[in-house]
Amino acid sequence: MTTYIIRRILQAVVVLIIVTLMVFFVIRLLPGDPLIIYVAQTAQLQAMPPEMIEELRIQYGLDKPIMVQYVNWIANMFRGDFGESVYYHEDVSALMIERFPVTLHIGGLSLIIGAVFGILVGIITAVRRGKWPDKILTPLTYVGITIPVFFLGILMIYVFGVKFGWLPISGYTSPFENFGLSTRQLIMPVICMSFFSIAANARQMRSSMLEVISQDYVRTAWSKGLTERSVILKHAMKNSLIPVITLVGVGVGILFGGSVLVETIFAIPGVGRLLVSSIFGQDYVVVQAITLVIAVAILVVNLLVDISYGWLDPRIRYG
Amino acid sequence: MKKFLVIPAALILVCIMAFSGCGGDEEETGATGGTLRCVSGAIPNNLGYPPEKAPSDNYLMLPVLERVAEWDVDGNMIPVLAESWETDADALTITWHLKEGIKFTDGSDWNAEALRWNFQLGIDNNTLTDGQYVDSLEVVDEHTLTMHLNSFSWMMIENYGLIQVISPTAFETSGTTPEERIDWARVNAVGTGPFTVADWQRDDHIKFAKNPNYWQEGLPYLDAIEIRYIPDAMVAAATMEAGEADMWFAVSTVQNIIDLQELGLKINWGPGMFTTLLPDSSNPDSPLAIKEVREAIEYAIDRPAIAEMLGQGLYEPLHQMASSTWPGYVEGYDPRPYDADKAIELLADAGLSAGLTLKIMATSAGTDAVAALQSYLGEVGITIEPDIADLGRYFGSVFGTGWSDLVYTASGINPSTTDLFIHYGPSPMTFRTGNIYKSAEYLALCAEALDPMYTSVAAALSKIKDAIRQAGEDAMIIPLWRTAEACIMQTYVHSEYPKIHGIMWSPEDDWMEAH
Repeated sequence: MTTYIIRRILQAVVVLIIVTLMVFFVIRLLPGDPLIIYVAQTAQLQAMPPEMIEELRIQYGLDKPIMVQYVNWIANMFRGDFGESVYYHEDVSALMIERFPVTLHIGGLSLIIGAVFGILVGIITAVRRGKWPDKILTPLTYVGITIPVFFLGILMIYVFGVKFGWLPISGYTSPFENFGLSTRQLIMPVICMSFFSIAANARQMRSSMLEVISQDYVRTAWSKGLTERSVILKHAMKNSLIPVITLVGVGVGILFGGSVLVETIFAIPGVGRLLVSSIFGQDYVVVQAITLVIAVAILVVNLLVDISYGWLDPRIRYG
Repeated sequence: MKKFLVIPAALILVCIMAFSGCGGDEEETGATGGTLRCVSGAIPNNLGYPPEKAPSDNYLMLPVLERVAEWDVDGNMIPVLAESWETDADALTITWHLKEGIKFTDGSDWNAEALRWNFQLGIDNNTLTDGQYVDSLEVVDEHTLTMHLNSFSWMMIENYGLIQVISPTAFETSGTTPEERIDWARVNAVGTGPFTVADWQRDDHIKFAKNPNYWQEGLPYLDAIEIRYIPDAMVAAATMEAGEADMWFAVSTVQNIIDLQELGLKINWGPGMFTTLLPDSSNPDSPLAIKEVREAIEYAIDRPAIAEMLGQGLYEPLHQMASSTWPGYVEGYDPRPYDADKAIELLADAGLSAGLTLKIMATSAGTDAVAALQSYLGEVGITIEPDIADLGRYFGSVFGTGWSDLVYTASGINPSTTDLFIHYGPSPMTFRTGNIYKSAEYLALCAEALDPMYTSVAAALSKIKDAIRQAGEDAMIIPLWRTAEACIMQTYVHSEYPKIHGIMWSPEDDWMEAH
């Protein structure tokens, strides 16, 4: 097991190096100059003479050869210095510390809700196959995997925010500041973000569960006179979970992607929105840092997922 | 008996009139209290460091940071923190007389030294427009500052007067190094305004609380203002419709304006954006260096029809380098109304009867406009290749390396045609216009309009109009239409924003009826 984990970590390091290379060079392939974009958007700075723009270029290290910039970026990151945003004039680490908790709050809740409800719906539709719960819920999962997040968000805003006035339309409040308001504000974004994963997990769980409950050991459990609850939860569910857990791991990446849209629609100051505005503003260091942190998060979660297979199915051996 | 009835009736009538009169006064003077909840597609990113402020930082920080002078509704400069000013074109000086008894919210005095410090900050950072014309700043007395210049034009009153001032004391005592002070000022604002910053979360919201020691007695009416950043227009519209916000700044999405107007919300119209096609006419190899080609393009575009289609009645077609809302507008001047046959004829005159292919660069915001232009220009044999660029490439071209063929632009409109001179005239800020051919006649007229003998826009108006007419004769740019801009508010909100040119806001005068 230890050998496996070490090997996976080494593989993750290689992946991370590839990610740093890709994100660093791809964003620089985009046409445009971050300093010109910044200057263009700032009325007072439009009067700035070219010499001052060059001074700024030196200040942000953008005057150096691109390979030197890359090496400097990596070296600085090892010292915990992610650089300074051209647009915000702020340390990128400070910006991330400000934004990541918001995204993790919404993303974490969405991940949990997506997993719990997805598994639940999957079990119900599998166990009640062909019955009315299956007939209602399975088509809904099709809707869940096909409906675009932005459309769902706008639809919910219109129905629950504008027409019924039940929920606040946008914004984010920390639960430590006002728990009630925070919860009300989160209902729509979290449903939006978890809708796809509920549907995807449910579909995966349903097919996995259908396969498991037709196996001999489950039939044996039924024949022993065990209750349905005991058969499903104790005997069938654990073995059905492996593909679902894989999907949940993949879902972390999807959640970060979804946060970009959800945070824009619901005006939430999270890392997704920061990433979008930084891409448009070609704020290189912010894009690089956020992408890297997201990549690390996805690698860690997937490592944990791989390790969890052994717990779910002791027959699995790590070579 | 009749007398007996008449006297009480008269008394009742007097009482009714008195009470209705009281109600009327309340309408006029404004009710006090309440929090004005605003939504905006922009939020201040830089609170109190003027050299790095974006336009949205400026107007959204007006509750805190006031100006030395500003425009009135007619485009004339009026004093705010200044009492008055004098110009002496011969001596090349501008003397600012400042209002007395005003303090910054940190307790320090607003005086000539504070103004000198603020001007110097802009000059040192090369961000004070026309700062290069300032030779020295002389504090004459506690409330008088004289600027000694090496050149003079009426634009300087605007460029210097419109600066928003911060407290030098607060800035200088906020850190031990210049970098620390600047970092502090970016996230703190200390001014003389009717409000102070109570809470700010970057890219989310800013809250202003009433300044109890504000220098204008009885103002502000509101207790607080909260501005929430909602980048998506559809969501902002829903927020207004649901009554979760009282006011929505700078709305340019036509459908939202129409929808909310139909729901009975109040609309204050702003100046909108001036859209143009800018040619790369200074490039001798470009077909657009040929005047007939530029003229043909202008003749080929049915601007009223496109403006009606895109703006649903809210856009104004432009036929000259000014809109009808500008003082410099030349009444009735329309050198090239829609005439497709004339366009074809001009192209033939230019030796391009077989047609030509041109690119139009735009951002995604201009996609519909470019599609409409493509259709009209195609009718006369000009094939348009739309070049929809990301902001990086677009700004890099427009402000940096230049563009090929045509670029679709939208720029802010100021009342005094300042933008005209900044963008197209002989201003030192020719960053964006190096690609455009400007005739010697046009440059001479611009120089005349900026002659020191004129001390205000009004005085220079006839010359400005001459310059605009000359730009039209030269087909220097291709004016398209003025877009719509509105501030949408609930019926109980009373605010002048953005009636005064879009970048003026007097939050101390805003108030709300009980609701």
